[in-house]
Amino acid sequence: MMQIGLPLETWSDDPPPEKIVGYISVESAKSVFKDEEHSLEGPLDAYYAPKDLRDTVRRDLEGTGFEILAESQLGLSVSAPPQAYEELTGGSVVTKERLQYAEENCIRYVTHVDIVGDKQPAALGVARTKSDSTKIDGVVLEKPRMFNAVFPSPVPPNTSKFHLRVPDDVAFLLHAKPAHQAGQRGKGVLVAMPDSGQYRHPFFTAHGYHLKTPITVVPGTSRSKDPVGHGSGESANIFAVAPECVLQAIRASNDSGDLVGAVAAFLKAKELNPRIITNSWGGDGPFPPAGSPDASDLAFAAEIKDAIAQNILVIFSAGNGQFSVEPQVPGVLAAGGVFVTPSGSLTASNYSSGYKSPWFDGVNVPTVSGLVGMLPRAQYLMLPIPPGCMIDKDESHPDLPDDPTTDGTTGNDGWALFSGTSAAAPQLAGAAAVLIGAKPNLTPPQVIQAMTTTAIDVVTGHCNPRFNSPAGVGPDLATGAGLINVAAALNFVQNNF
Amino acid sequence: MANDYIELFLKWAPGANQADVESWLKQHQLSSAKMIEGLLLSGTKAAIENAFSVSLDNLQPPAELPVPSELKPHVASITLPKPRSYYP
Repeated sequence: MMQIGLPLETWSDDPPPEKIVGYISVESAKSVFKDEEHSLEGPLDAYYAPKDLRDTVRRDLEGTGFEILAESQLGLSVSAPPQAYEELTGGSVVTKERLQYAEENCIRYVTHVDIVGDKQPAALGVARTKSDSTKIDGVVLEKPRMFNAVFPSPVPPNTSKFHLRVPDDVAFLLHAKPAHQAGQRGKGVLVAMPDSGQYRHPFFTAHGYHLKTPITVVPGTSRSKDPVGHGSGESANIFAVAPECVLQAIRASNDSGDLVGAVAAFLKAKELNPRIITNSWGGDGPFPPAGSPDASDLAFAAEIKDAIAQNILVIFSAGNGQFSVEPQVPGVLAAGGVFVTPSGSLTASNYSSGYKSPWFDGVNVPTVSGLVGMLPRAQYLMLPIPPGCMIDKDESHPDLPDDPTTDGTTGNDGWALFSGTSAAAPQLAGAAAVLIGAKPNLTPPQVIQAMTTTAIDVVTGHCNPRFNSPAGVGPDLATGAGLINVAAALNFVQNNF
Repeated sequence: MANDYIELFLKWAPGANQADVESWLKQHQLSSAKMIEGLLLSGTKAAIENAFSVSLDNLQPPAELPVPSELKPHVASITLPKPRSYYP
């Protein structure tokens, strides 16, 4: 295990769970917790605890916050909050990351709970009580145990609806494969993504993608949860194009999934000084607008411009019919949508927004496009999400009266078909990571120039009916410069910068 | 607070005493983060309604909140922004 150069055990960023399941061994003639008895030699009867002693221990535990889950002749299976274990042992409940074999023969860090303190044994998850009068000779916290089958599956399910898979279909259609074959995979480029959260789906683990511990900005929310599934799923688009980049997810959702901390998450992203911030969200307002952007729009626009001035490439989704200030801010890479049909032809996505900015001279939205589905629901990319999250449920049901079909997956399988310009933004982020990985001194305008100069022109279709801009020869308001071509953009930066 | 978090934008008035404002915000259980033109304020709905003597339910964002008299020399505006959502 140590041969891969990582420590076997490290402190964890995760807080202890609210309830910890453990095992309480009641005193008996022999004890496996005594140093000299680390074996099970001799008759097993010697480890059986007398019934009256077990009854006493059970009553004492129940009186101090423990719930008894089961009982045997040796001890009790219990559940209790961390404070109850600390009171019993005199130690502190902590979490640690242990490197071990996990799903699919993959070695990864797995979170364990431990009790530490002056009189506590070194063994992970094992503790002594602070007093002998408890008649307890040892406490064992449940270790994480792996199912022999992995759930959710790291492999997407089959469904009859036409769709694309990550990573291969997305990488192929955006011409990222030649860049990968040339050794350009965005290695080490930090991409920050404020969104709904990031769930460690086995898909990411199986592919060996580098996800930093997520950050949350909404007080009281868990950094390891994604109640919507949006951030988790859309982030797979980044890795499809840049499999060796580093993702810092920043959770901006509350426990209901509402995007309440978007600005705070963007400010946090800036603080981390990433090369790229990708944003698959925004607001909405009347189009054409009645007047200038409001004060709050301008305040946020100033923050976006400041990020760009700090050499951070800022990407915003153009919108799925929405009109919002973020993709219009000068210098932002605004991500639109192109649909690749089953026969392989390209057409503008009628799901994506496309317009000339009424607020900023010379700005058109989108700048360039990624892969996005079509109305009514843009169920186009099979993406990994937390099982049973909002998107998992929603996409597996009809959306009447607009769409009587489903995505063909179940509501609790950890996969769903969706896309939107939310998918295009992280695809562009992946493309940018490949370019920056190859040429670390690239500036945001240079990255945008490379993508727009080399994009594949899309000449058919219209964008969202709200704007109804047609695609045509050359740059247009339906897809911007067209569909990104990662290999051509890489060639461009290698020859020009 | 996990389901009750709200963001506001505060814009400085010329010559603002920023420390005084940040102290006032802290007293009213509001958090702040520096922005280019002011502060990003955040707090619970109850804390915001109490601090600015408004009912957020009656406001249609984007909306300007009344600036309390103690903050008037330092603050040009306090705005409740439009809600933002995902674009899937």
